[in-house]
Amino acid sequence: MISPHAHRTAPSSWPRRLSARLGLSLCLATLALLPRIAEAETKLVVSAPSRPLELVKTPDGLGATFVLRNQGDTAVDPKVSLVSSASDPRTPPGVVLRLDKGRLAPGQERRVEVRWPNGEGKAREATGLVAIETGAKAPEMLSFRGRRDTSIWTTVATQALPALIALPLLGALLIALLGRARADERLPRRIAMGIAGLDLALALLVLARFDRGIGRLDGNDGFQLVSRTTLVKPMGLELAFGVDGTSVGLLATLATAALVAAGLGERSVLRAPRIWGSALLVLGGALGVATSIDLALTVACWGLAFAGAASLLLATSRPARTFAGRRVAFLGLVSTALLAAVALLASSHVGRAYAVDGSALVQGFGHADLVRASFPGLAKTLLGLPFTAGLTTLLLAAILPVLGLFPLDGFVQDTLDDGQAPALLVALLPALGSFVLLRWGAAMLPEGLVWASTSLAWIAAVSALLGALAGVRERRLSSLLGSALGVTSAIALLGLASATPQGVLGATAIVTASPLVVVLVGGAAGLLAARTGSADITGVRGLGVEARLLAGALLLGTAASVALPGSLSGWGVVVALLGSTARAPTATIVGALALGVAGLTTLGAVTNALGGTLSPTLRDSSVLEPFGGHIPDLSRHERAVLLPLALLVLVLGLSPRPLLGAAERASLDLAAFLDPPGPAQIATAFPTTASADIVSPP
Amino acid sequence: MPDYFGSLRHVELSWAVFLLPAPLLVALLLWFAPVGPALAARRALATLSGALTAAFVVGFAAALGNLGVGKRALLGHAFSFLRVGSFDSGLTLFLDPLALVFVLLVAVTAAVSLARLGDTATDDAARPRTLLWAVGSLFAVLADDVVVLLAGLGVATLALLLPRASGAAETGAGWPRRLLGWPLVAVALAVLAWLPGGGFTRSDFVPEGKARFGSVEARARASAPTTGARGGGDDGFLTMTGAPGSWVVLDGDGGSVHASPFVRARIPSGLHAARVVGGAASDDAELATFFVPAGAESYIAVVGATTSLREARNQLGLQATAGKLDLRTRLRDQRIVGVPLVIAVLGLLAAGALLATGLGSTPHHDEPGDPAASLPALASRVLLPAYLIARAEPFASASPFEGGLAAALVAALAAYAAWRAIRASSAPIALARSADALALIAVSAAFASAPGSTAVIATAATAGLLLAAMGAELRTKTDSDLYLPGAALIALPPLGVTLPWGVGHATAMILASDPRGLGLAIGYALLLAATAGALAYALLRFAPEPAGDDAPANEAPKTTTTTKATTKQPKKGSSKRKQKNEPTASPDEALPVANAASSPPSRLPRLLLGLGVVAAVLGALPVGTLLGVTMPLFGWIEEGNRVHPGVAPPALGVTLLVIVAALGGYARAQRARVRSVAEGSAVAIETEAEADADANDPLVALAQALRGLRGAFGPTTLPAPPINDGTPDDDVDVREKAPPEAAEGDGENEDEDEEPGS
Repeated sequence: MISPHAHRTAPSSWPRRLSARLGLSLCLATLALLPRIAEAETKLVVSAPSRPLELVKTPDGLGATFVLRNQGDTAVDPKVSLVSSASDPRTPPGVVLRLDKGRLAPGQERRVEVRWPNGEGKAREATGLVAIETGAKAPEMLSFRGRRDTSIWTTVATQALPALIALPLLGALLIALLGRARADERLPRRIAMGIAGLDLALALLVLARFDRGIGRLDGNDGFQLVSRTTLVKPMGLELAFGVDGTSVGLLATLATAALVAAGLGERSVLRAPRIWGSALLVLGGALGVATSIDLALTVACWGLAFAGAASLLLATSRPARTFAGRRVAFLGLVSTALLAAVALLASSHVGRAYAVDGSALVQGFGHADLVRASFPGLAKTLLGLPFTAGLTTLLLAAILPVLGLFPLDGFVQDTLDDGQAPALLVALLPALGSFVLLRWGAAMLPEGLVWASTSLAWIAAVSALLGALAGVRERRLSSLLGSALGVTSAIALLGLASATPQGVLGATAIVTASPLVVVLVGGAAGLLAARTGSADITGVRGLGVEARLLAGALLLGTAASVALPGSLSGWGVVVALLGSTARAPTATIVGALALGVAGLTTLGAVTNALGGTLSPTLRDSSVLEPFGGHIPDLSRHERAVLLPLALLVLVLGLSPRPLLGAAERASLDLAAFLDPPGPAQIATAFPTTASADIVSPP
Repeated sequence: MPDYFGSLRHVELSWAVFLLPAPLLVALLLWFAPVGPALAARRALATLSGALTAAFVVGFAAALGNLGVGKRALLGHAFSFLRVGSFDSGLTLFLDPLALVFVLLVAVTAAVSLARLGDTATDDAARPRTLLWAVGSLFAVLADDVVVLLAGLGVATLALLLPRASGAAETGAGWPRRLLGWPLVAVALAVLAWLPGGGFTRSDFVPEGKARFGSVEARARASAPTTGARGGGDDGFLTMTGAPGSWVVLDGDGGSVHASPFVRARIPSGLHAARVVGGAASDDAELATFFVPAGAESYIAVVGATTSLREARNQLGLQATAGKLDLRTRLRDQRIVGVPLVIAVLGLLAAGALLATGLGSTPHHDEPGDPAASLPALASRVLLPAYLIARAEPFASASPFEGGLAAALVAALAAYAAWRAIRASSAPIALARSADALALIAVSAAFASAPGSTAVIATAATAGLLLAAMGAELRTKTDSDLYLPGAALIALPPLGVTLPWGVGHATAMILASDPRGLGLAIGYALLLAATAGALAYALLRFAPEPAGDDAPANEAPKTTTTTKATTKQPKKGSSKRKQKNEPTASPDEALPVANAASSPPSRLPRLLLGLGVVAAVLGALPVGTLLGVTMPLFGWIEEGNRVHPGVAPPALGVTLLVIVAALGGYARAQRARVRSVAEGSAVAIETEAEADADANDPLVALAQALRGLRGAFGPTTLPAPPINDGTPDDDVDVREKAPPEAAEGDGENEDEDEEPGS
């Protein structure tokens, strides 16, 4: 049935209808464009006392003001907002802008207040950006920063991060100068020990001031004690430092390892200034990798660490070491070049990046900016793969060879071979590689890492198993220990590939514990080799009776290096395996089997050396002749260095939280990158009050 | 409305649980303390610590007994290790009757071993090993979560690997089995930890996505508060024992706050909202509003993946009010190659534990030296696998039919072990295989989750430990007084009515159409008879002749071989090859103690006899139950399991079968003995194939090839250069000298160079 009103609602004719609609559209468009045309003539000028704007203490918190002046011809309604969101909180929750309402007449000024009231948010420092629409094409950015905790210790801790790297570099320079001046031959080691001691003190201070409850959602991209200085603005290079849960423990263990290595390196063969200068370069580079939050700086520190390592090994001028030095130099060169390529490629697609003063950068290397970059959205390809996958492939090509995985674990074994303590620092490089993979891979390229996760899990499992099997009936302790450390490194990779919070925490825990374990077991093994004159463990018997303290340190270090449950490394391995069980159960079984093989072969060899009695051949050998045919126990000096470390490893094995607990929150954050939460979890994690992307001014 | 209803394991909080490992731990620390009591006092303290722990067990037994049926469990939480997401590990100990029985066995083993040790350097080397093993084992037994359990097992393993003064290689034959075992245990426990939280596909774990905590209303079990909690008026009670260290905030920020674990915290009855705050590394969990009735107890339970086997067991008893599938159903439905995943995982756990603890090895392979010092290794083999499976047993109950089949399979393995015992050519071997059989019986019983399984497991494990210890003692001693506990053991199967009781239950279950009964009935009937026959055969066959006998079995053998357990250590490699073909010393020469006359009087047989009595008492507990008499101790162990009607006839029938089998074993042994004496043949100590495993180990060849592959990337195995530069150091004056060439000078190492593949 046709409605009686149908003919009335129908258009009379199509030309009239069209013209009417066109006219209406034109009117509406004119009305909409009018304000914009007017605004195009406005010009807001931002006047801030400093850039970045420093928040200072006020009665109710922190605050600072800047001024907006309208230098245009027409009145304008200023638009100012914080660049932050609940899901990507650059700025800690609670930071607000206060601006009087109303339009700003030409020539008029208005104060804008950045406030951070007490009790809002958990963070103790705030950095952020204020976007001001000035009438230009892009809004003007004003950065700000402030600290609630202005105690002397926090101030020192903030400055400690650059100092951690600067001190070793200055020490290396000083040693080089002293070497030319031919000063006391013991001085280089003492300088190195002093620098390592200072670094340890600073690292402990940083650890003490680090708030473990703060995560990425609490602002500042999850970093604490951040300090940024622009180095070369056109190139986007910055000296940017900060720590999060994955790096703060590593700082302390790296510095401890350096101090122990310096403490054990008293032997006269190690008095060459180049050795200690190189050792300091390794330390500075390693600490730089752990603390830098700028990719270019990280690559530079990475290269520095490898250069120092190669120089350290080459300084001993012995055939095996020379080869090892060349190998490390080659690995370092290749991996640094590949990392630099990754950094350049990533930074050229970063999108919007801002310098410390808020000015826009053409190219940004900031870790936080790169984390925000949306690489999967790019249509480009790299190496014939989607861009993210190609970038991840490059990253893996840079990192995997230095993780100490079979069959490329030879350089780790070389460094443990003859117990020259400074060379132990070279054995820390695999941990550094795992750390970079954690920070770059998990946070910056999570889609790529997930893409490669199955392959990574199997690479880790198979290399672990083969490496462990290669240790069967191995006679050299250094090779056994190198295999065992390679297996734990592979388990860290397996945990990371699982993309579970447990896997990531396990990987972080292994990385964090690694320096302590390496120097303990490497130091003890080196002392044993120095006493018996051979790295062959099968020729040693009765060590438990001959040198009880040395035997104890060796046993404890070995137990930790094979990740015996209840040891310091054991925690990371158990948690990593628990995480990988969920995602790659078969690879986990293979990895666990590798652990079993490595554990039994290494522990079996060491315990075999501890038992029985010293063989007459060794007892009568010329090496032990000066000691009356006995293996000497730890000297007073060695006891002072090695026993506190052994005690630390033992205590942290029984109660790991003081060291590894700092990584809990950060691991959860990293796992969230790899395995983003579903809708239900998002609803739980982000209450409605924090759902707005831009916190608008009142 | 609560999220779940069902029954939860009731616990009482008590720090006292930490007292159980404390004496042994203190003795261990004192042993290594740089200052402190004299050596003699340390020895005494070490000996005392084992006995003290055993004494503590009695006190705890009384304490648990006072708690009443269904509530006999104590929980103590010290601190958290690590926490991220659903992973939450802490030093939390859990004690229930099952754990207490195994604590007792570990303590008795440690006490026997420590009491037996003397004052020599060898003994002093063995003492800390035993202490360390006992401490690790106690933590493994008492652990509430799998990480502590693994750590305890790790420490216990390390203790067994520690050197002995005798210098025997600890990782000799059988080590490939061990290295396969522990990883399997670790992975199986990891899978068990994940299972409550979701399901495994072929390549991935798919979480179920439910809230991590849920409110629970206890319906299946009486939840009346204890006396102290009564009189609450309008108050109700709230309990949470999962995720220790978390905080429960009730009714918003202004409400009360409780730190987990807490038991029967008094809260106003009515509707409540709760938020569980796990700390920095886990998101807060909001619970749906739940009702707490006046005078009643409600729970907040962990739901989903958990590292606590106790919490996983609790989840098996829960049903969601929202109509979701319960965990038990989900577990039953998850299959891998047609087998329920949970049964496959438990099989993996059992296989791993049995392999890792040396199932199938003989005393002279893995436990050289003094048998007292070897006791911990023997105990590990017998106790720990059974305990692990018993602890994880509730998972098996999700698939009772397949669980029964698995029990039957393990029982068949036990029968095979018993058969090997009968075929053994020496008493130590026979006893070792019998111990294997009993260990497998215990595992089988745990798999079947039969009523009374705790008593079955405890009896079997105790008897297995006793047998293994006897086997070790026999190897070093021909003292006839050893046959005193041996005689007690022969009477064990008929006396140990626990096992027939289990068979009786199985039969009754068959009659009641319970599928678990199938495996139990077949398995137990077979293996009980076989084990009894083997025991009888072995003990009589190899028993020493009375004084004045013309042809003692253990003397003057014509053809025999040596073992590793010689006073002079055999060389590896070539020496083992020699063992194959060359008749060398007599068995008595191969033993540290040549004969009874020269050996000192031993206390071990008496201690073993004591252990036998314990086993017999444990085993005999159900007798009264079968006869209709109330047995308080049995009821205490079994936590109120009721005797199945119709148990007595089949149980008594099986007992008769066992007695017949034992008599058959005696008869067979008697015939063999008479024949051997008549033929003048001697008893050879069995040399098993694995004794030569090192020589032809394919792993060794593979390792050589792999090292070659690594060598392709650089010369990592260059000859070790001199370490020093010739200048004396400040602290250690190690001068530059040629390496001692220990490998060249030592004939042992020359032998090792000739390994295949080198």
